[in-house]
Amino acid sequence: MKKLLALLLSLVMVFAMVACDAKPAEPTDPDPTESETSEGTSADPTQTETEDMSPYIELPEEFRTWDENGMPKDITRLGTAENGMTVSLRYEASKVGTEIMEKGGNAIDAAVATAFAQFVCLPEMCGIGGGGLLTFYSAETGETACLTFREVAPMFQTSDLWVEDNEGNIIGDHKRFGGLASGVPGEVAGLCYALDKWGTMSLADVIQPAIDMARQGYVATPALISNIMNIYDVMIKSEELTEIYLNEDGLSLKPGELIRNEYMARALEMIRDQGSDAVYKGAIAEQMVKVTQSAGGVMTMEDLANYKPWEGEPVMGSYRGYTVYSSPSPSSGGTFLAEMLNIMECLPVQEFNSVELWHQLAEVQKMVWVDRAVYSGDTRFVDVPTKGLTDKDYAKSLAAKVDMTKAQSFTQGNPWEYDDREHPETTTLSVVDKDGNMVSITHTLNLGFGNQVYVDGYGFFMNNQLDDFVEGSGYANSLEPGKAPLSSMSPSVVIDPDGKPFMAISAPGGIQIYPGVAQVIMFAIDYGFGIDEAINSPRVADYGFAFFYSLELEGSPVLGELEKLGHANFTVGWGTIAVPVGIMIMPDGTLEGSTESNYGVENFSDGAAIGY
Amino acid sequence: MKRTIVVLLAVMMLLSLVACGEGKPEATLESSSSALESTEANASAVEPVGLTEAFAEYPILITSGGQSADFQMVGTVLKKQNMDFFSNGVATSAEIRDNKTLIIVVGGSSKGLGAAGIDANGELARLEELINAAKTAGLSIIAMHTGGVVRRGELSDKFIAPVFENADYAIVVKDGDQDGLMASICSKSGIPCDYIDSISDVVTVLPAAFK
Repeated sequence: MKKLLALLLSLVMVFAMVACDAKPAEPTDPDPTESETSEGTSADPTQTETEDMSPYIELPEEFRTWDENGMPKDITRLGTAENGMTVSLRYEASKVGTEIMEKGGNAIDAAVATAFAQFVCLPEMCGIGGGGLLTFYSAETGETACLTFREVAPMFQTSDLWVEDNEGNIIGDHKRFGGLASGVPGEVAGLCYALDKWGTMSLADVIQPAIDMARQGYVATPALISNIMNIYDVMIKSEELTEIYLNEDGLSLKPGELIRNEYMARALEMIRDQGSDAVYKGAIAEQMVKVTQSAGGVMTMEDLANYKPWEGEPVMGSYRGYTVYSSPSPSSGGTFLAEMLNIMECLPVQEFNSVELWHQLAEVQKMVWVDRAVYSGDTRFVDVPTKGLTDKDYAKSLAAKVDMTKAQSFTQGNPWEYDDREHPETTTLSVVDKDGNMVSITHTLNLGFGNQVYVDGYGFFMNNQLDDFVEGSGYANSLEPGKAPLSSMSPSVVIDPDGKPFMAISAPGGIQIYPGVAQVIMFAIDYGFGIDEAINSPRVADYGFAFFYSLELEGSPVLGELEKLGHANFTVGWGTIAVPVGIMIMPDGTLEGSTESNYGVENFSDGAAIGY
Repeated sequence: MKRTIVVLLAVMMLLSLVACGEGKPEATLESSSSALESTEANASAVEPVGLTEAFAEYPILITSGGQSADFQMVGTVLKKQNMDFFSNGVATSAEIRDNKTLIIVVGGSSKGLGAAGIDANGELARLEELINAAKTAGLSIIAMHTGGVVRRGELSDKFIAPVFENADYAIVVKDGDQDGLMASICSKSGIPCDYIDSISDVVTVLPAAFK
């Protein structure tokens, strides 16, 4: 009932403002339902109920990942288009991006609009309190740019604040949850920067669909419900969260039921009207500081005011004549994606889904993993031999270590020998527009719903990105004030041997991201797979401590053969080794897009490729 | 398609267990497979016999059987009914204290298990230890399955028999028992069982269990 009343009041406000041609008043109180007091309103409940049933974007039956019983079901992933395409892990967000292009926007406009829409319909994955990475290929200049808007450690934060007990466990799990887990968010600053530099449309134009979606609603899916219920204990303690994400009895929503977030709509309107200052200097900033400090954190208004996204030279790799551009430090993703492809390029192309292919990939990934553990960090704070790690000769030296008769353990190589020391150095989306511009963004709160600290009044959660630092000091990836933690995010673009755009590819999935992205690129190039087959084929990820494999390989005899070679600790990988989304530009110029179907082992992803 | 194969494999496993023959269920956790064995043949024919007499006493301890959020939702429902309880999703014998009734809400969640830092086998071991201690201490045990059809499957089903076989009373959301698994276990063991339509309806039957 409260939800209905709040909606009705909101609609009345909006209509009144439209009628006056005035901007909505800036909220001074973070409770948009404050004025909702009259249970006995005379509003026509029938009319309101009808409106309740209509989300901002209807989710067509063919994109619904559940059946009539609410049980998860898979959907067709492949989409084709002639002009522009957006792929993301929600149909509604992809739709928003493509509609922006249909209105004349370029790939950046569409990507930023999609990202804001993802704030709303993938609230557990990204949002105002998060951060991310962007890779942009300009068809006009042929140049690629990478933008980092990853969170950084607050200036008063040190690793000493994560107090350990006698057994070395962090008391209260404060590295993962609560105020001390949160970095200074970079998401809104990054999206505004990208739009301002490379976009063609106004912030008001690209953010409005997200505002409308937050206010009018979107439908709950099994994947989202599962994530909501994973933090049910957090949800039930907050009246706002209960109102947004649970039903009127405080219980789980059912697939297809509407979720509205008037609080986030208000926050997004403030961003629309004030730009990123709304988040870094204004009332939203004050509230983020308040809730973070209340939860034990040390983030200040100064931390937020000082936050700036930064551009970095893309990591460039190549694979059998194709050029791959991906994210530089503080992500390790681009660097180790390139290293992995470089080593694989030195090895023979094996039959697809053969023991030899998975063995080769596993051995290579183990070598890459030990390099990552030693040689990764924020290059604004530590030296990383990026050039050496992505050097072809270094790759050859590692490829020579692969023994096709047995699985091995590896210690790190010495990429410094191959580095001239000049240091030129999680939901996701990819967009390709009609001109061939390509954008990939991966952005995240880290864990689902981040550090589980909710920003009251504004409808979003803070991140727990500081958990991506290693514990203790003295390591390349140790926490330092102002430093960004290591990441595996690898939003990438691929150029074909003729210099033409070939693929935009990205994925969520933690440390499985760069292995997942690398294998999609490899499979497309080595086996001629289309994007749907390249993404929805089995993959493996081996880090030495565990051999992760896709659901597709469950029960396959190749696992037994791999065990005979000495591989061990087999585990089904989360999201079947990352959850890639990608677009391939076909030789005739048409676009084909797809997303991974699996999303963990319990649900299907809500991903969709939508073009025009 | 991939998931269909996984589901089919799980169903085949279940059917193969069923085909092994019928065994007499015993009130131990080790007997879980025997309960599964007997389920399928007369699943649709089994109609649970509801509770006729109050038997339970306060205080109540609620825990999970599988680490889904269902046990917390049951808590929400009971709170609205002003029923007092102590809730601990990973309760062990140490939490029994002076409680007189143990409610176990069954529902498997791989993420929930991960968040609790436990795997399915560890969860089964915890439940066995807790149930045995509860029986020794004379607690009444109420088994619930409130997640409906979406809370059925390979993972969730692992916890059903070990909990339900040891219960004094069971409450089940009906669409989660389309195969009659839980009704069958209750029927064979003489455990009263009430079907309800949704988790909200727990309060329509549970209070009657308390003296």
